[in-house]
Amino acid sequence: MIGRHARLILAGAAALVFGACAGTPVRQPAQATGPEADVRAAIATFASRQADISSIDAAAAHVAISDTVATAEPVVMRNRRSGSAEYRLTLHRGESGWYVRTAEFLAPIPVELEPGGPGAEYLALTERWAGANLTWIQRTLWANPPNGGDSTLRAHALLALDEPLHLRSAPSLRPVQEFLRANIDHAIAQMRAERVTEGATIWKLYNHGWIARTANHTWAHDLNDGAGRASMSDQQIDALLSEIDVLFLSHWHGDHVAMNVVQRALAKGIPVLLPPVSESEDGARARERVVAALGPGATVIAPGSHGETRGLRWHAYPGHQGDMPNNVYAVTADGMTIMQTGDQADRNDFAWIDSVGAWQAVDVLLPNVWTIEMRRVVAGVRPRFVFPGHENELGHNFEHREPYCQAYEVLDGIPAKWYVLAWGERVHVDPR
Amino acid sequence: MRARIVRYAAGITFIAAAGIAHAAGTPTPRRAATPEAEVRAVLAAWQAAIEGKDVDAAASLCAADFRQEEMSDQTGQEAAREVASFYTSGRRGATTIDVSHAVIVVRGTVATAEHVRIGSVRRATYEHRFSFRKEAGGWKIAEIEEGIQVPVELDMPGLGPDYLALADRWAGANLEWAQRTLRANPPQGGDSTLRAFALHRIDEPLHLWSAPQLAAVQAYFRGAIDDAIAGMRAERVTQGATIWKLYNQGWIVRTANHTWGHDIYDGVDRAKMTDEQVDAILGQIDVLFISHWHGDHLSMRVVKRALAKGIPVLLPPVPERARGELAALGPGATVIEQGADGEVRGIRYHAYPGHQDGLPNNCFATTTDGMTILHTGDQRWEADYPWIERIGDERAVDVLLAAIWTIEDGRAVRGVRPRVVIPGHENELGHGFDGRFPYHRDYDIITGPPQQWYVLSWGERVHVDPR
Repeated sequence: MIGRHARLILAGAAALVFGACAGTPVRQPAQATGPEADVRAAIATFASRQADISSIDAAAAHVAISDTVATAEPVVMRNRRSGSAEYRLTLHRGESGWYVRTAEFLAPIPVELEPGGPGAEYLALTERWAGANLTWIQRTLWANPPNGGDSTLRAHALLALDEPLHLRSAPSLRPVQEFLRANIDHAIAQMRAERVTEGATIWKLYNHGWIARTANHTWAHDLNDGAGRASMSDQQIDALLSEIDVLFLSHWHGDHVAMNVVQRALAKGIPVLLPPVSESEDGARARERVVAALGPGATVIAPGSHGETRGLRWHAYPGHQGDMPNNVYAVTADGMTIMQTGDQADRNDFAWIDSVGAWQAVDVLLPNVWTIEMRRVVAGVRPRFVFPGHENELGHNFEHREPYCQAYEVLDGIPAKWYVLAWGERVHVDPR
Repeated sequence: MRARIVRYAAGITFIAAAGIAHAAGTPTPRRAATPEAEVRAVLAAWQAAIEGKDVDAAASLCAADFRQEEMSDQTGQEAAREVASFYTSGRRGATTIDVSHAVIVVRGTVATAEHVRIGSVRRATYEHRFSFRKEAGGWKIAEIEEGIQVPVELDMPGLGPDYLALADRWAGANLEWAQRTLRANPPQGGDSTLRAFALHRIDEPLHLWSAPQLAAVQAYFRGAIDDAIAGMRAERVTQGATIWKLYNQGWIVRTANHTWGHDIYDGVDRAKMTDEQVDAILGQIDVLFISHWHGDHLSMRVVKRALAKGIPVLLPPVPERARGELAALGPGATVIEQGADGEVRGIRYHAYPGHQDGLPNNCFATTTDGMTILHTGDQRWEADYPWIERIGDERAVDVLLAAIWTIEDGRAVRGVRPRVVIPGHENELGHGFDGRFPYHRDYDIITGPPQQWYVLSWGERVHVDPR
């Protein structure tokens, strides 16, 4: 690997290594020796193959090597269009040497701190502005819960929430991180205190993550811990997992399946119902190995199947997000049926969506706010209540962090009662 | 219904006139209400009717020639009912009406009420101006006009001017950096990654609900327009075309011997070009083309000033609601029917018969000095694809100026086959959060060769060489 590249050693602590073919500059410490040098060389090779990456800075990355697996973190990669972000690179040593197997996104570099960017003082100002607004928003939302309080004021607070959460730097801003964690703490405290005797109480967590509690059962859908540094703590994840009996996962996107959460759930003995792996998916074999490594307790659920787990009856409707299978779970317990749509987005699936309501009485529909033809979905499912999800997912860029104002837009006039919930909020639904 | 209205108006008037005496506990002769109190009572009755979702009651308070041009193509009771229905439907979320800031001025048999705040969940609060006329049956609402937005920081309990000041400061800091970066890294030259950062950065303050009300945004906007004006004054084109992006889908095109404008729109609320800026821009052009009759493309202020300067204005087909406005414009303003060909001051044009959701939207292909520019307005209509997909076979288009949504699925670009694509309609501040398409979206849709793509911010320009 090393011989394939021309090296240019500069004076000073850092060396700049150019890939001979693509010219993506890689900044690394010059003094690496032994296995670490091989790992870093593999990083340089990886860099040379990334057409969208204009530079890689691994100078501050800590390399940890364990037999045939190594990690390097944080590695800053600068995308030509979207800017810089920190990644954790996982490398494996094969017959030909080290190679980068995965690049896991950790956090965006605030544009304020980008080379040529505005500068650290701008970041402080951004934090101050975001913090002031998030404080007011949180106060307003807590004083005006979803089914109580002033709904107009709530709406204005949610629309105001779109603004700081659409900052590219949002996951890196302390006020945003604090806002997320405070709201998750709020939810945890409520879960610990609330006993449900009839109907269902539903908590919205982050993105399209939900917890539903009926008289005798509590379960979760797509429990995801956050994006980058705007993430739940391990203690929060454990606290949430302690409340649930089963974890349902719709599809294999990282904003729905968080391996940290999955592994912790399995360690607690919580059954995890996994989505199927599509043959057409890139990395399908790798994913199958991951599934196998999870061991018992993690079960792949075929689309269209049904079953019962710890007293929860479920049906996995065969949804899709493009080519990716996306199990749309309808879960029934204690006389209540909750349906969560994952990232449902495929017109062909209207073949079954249009008639769900004819054969199953759904009490609460939890749709992704950007699902195709929301009105048609609601008309087909005929739920009593709709609570949208997937707003403001911070791992997505500006254009794909669906704002709360979109929820108000798409739900207006639907034939069901609907509530827009922020992270950590809850609604109780009475039985029919 | 009429009895209910009388009860609303009379009851409020009675209370206003006798309230103090009642509280004092001493009987007092009823005093005649002042004209201002009468007008205020009608306003209060309209508010009560809307909040009580009584469309009939609200409409009955309106004059026989009532108008609200933002919401209705009709006049009179039809318009009054349409407006009341809109406010009571909850289509933009629950409507809130606040008359506590209203300032009423009565002059004989006409009156106005300024600063009537009408808001909704999904569109923030705007100040409205009500016009009244005294008729035989009492005061009637003659017109409702929407004014400027009330910043949410000044509208919501718990916020206040200090939040607005902080937002202004934050927006200003970022817009200054972005503008500096864009000026140092123009569309043709400079660091394209830094440009992308700067454009992405601009999306953030321009997506604040209060953006048009922030001094920083207004300053940024006018500074960008001044940049364009200075550039136009200095630049002579000898071949090819130079294209300036103004605001929204507003453009100026200059070739060797001609300069013309498309959809020049002067801005929103306080984020607006000054009269001097509008005149300076108009001072540069020979012809003004307008694609369709939407307020963010056809500014009557700009059109009237252009006509006053003797600049021909080529208007789109006129919807019924705008017939009165057209009549008021006089000669010089010409309606161009869809599919028409013509020549104005040496610029040949073809008005492709486009639509935005059914509204006629002329997509002007203009040709002069060897260059052809196609401006597509707000084109969005599935039935138009048969001719869109043939444009590239019929003519050689050098530059396509299109709204983001027109080109994002690639069909229009494949059909037109331009050499250069420049998206427009980003960050139009009169739209809500979700309708202010960000520069981010441009970068999502850029496909690269065979077309050359440029993402321009307000006031920027590119030069396109001839084939």
